[in-house]
Amino acid sequence: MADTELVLRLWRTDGSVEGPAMPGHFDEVRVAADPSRDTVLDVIERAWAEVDRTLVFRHACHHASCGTCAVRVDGRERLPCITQLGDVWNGRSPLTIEPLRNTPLIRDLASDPSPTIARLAALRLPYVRTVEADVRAASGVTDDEDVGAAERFEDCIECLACVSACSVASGDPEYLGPAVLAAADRIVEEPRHEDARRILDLVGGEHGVWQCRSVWACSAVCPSGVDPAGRIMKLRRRLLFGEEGDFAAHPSSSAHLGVGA
Amino acid sequence: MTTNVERPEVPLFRRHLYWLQPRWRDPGWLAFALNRLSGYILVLYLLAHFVILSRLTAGPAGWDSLLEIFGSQPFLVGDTLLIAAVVFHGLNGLRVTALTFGFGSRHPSLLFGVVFAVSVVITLLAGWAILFE
Repeated sequence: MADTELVLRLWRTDGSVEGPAMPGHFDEVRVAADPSRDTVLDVIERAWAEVDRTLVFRHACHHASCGTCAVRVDGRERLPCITQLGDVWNGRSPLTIEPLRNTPLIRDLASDPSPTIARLAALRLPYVRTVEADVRAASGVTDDEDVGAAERFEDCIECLACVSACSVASGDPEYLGPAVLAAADRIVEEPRHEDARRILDLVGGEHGVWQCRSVWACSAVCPSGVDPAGRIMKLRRRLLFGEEGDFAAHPSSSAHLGVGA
Repeated sequence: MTTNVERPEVPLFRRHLYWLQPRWRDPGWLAFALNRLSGYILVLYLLAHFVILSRLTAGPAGWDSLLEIFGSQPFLVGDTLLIAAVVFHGLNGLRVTALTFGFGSRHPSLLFGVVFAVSVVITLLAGWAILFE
């Protein structure tokens, strides 16, 4: 398909962005685009390369592995590196690109994940895990249902799309947020020498799981299928009923990983 | 340069309007927004209910004049909307409870569709009974 002209409405912050107010405006930028071949990140990069080199945005891997490029495309949180232009653009209207909500803004489209990263660090989430395939094989898990139950939270790429979509995070800056709560459930599920009780105390607090309003927007926008909302509900049940972690309760997997009884 | 490490402060007014932003939202947002709107309607109704009941202290004359208003067509339409709010709020509460307990958590939007459809049917039946029976 031949290139057509795309009008990008890009959020730009005004001048130096000190303070929380973060004033800004939209710039309209015209770039050539091929909806059948280009991703949204392609056209953002084109806008930067061919029109305005002062545009600030984050990206790295270009294949949904790093999570750094997440923005809002026409209001919805997406990873532009894997969002095909033809899937979100009708070929006529301007395409609006905005930074994530509920995260500090560095400039223009670049948001700062530091608060969520700091909260993940507070959980002491182990950084290195055995890959899912190894765990499955060692556990003798074969059917799809069991694999689903052992779904790895580490699929999270910390893009913070879930935090941006969360209506609670909009109103409560101290809310732990979907990404952190999903990580917490994952640790409780498979503690690996971490103190699950400490994690449950943390997520059961004032800014934890009980703040969730069950909108399920976090799970809807997650590009990695982490299902943070489902994890939050599991944490609630753990707090209410003291459920054991699914994974740790699985004898073969517990033995393999050296956790559990 | 990062401006601050904590999430940005949101002004109180905007904080309480964020939930009403439709944007692209999926049925989960609609469920939440309708739940909150119906909740506000029920709270306002409760307050109005207390105020109206207080008219009983003025004796039969004061109450009888109100009964005429209660029987008017606009008021009966209001009654139907009140039933819609009660039914949806109650059923959606059950939906949220079910999700919390792990029932239907793989299909929250479908669950909302069922709640919405049942609410519409009950409201239509109640509206028919109130307005035309």
